[in-house]
Amino acid sequence: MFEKQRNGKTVPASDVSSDSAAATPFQDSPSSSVRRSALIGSSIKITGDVVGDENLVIDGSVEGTINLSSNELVIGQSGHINANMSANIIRVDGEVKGDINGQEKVIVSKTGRVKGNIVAPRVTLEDGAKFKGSIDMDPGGLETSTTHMEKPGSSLTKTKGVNDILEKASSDTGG
Amino acid sequence: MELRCNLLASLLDDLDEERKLTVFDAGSATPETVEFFSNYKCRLHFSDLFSREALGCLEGELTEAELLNHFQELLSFPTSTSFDVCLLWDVLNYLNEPALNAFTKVLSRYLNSDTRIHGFATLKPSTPFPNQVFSLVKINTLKLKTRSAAQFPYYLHSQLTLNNTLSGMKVGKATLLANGLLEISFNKIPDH
Repeated sequence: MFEKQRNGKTVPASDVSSDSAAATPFQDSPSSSVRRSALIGSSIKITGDVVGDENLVIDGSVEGTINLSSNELVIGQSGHINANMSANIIRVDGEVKGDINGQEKVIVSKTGRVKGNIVAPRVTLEDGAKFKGSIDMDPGGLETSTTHMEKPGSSLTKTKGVNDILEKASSDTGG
Repeated sequence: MELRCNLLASLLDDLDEERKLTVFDAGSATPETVEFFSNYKCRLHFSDLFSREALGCLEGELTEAELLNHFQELLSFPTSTSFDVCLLWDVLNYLNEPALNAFTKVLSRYLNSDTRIHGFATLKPSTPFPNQVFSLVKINTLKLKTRSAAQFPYYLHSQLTLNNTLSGMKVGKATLLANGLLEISFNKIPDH
């Protein structure tokens, strides 16, 4: 699903994203400068479970669950998420209704809006961020959490029943 | 603008850094408050009682049962929740007496005899009551920012009125600050 035709060839999702936001979602993370990200575009709506083993930027809508385990997840400014999510580092620039579990860190940026509960060793709210819920922090738990990350079985981001759950949003969603 | 608060410092200065803290913040989440508590193992509950959803409906006449129901919905924590720190900021001033009673009746379910409860009041009608957001910067310092949303109607409560109206808690210590705000620490009343 997260593959695209380029010059007649099918390429992995990690090679698709060319915009700078998707390519380097975490400016303050050294590892992200060399790791590219899959992108769920602003017109895409997914209902179901998103799991994977690569970084992901979501500019569209997801309803269900998101589990990227040891990777980085960015909810872009146009992202609308109604789901519980888990990843190593999570940055929210868009809107999230659901619980957020970051194994290392969660950042809610100045454009981010979160209604739910956040669990992470470190949580950063930027000035202007909107948050309602609870924040569970354990600064001493970082080492423990990063050494017990589960290894996902898949090497590519995927969803369950993609033919049923992935739909190209009509133009009225506007991303 | 920053505000020095010695009572607050006395409440927070011996928090157990080894034990997980449960903190109630009546306001909205601010970067500074989250950053302050990021040094602790803790769970922060932000109730955003200054929102239209929370205060807007209080402008009409509500029965006692309706008020209790309203605050139960806003303060719907797991029944096992027991707060170590309770930051009320100036929310008591945005509640009339019936609302004040209902709010503290619901809140007191989550308090214990050791809960450190902190808030502000304004006693003199001549004191301007600013529409501001409080953030915890340091153990004895709050940052005050003007709230972007319109100010809700507010009520001035004397210390006597507070003690006669609050349910499950009473005024412990109070200090008049230079800007006219009365800084208050509250105590949980046993058996409430």
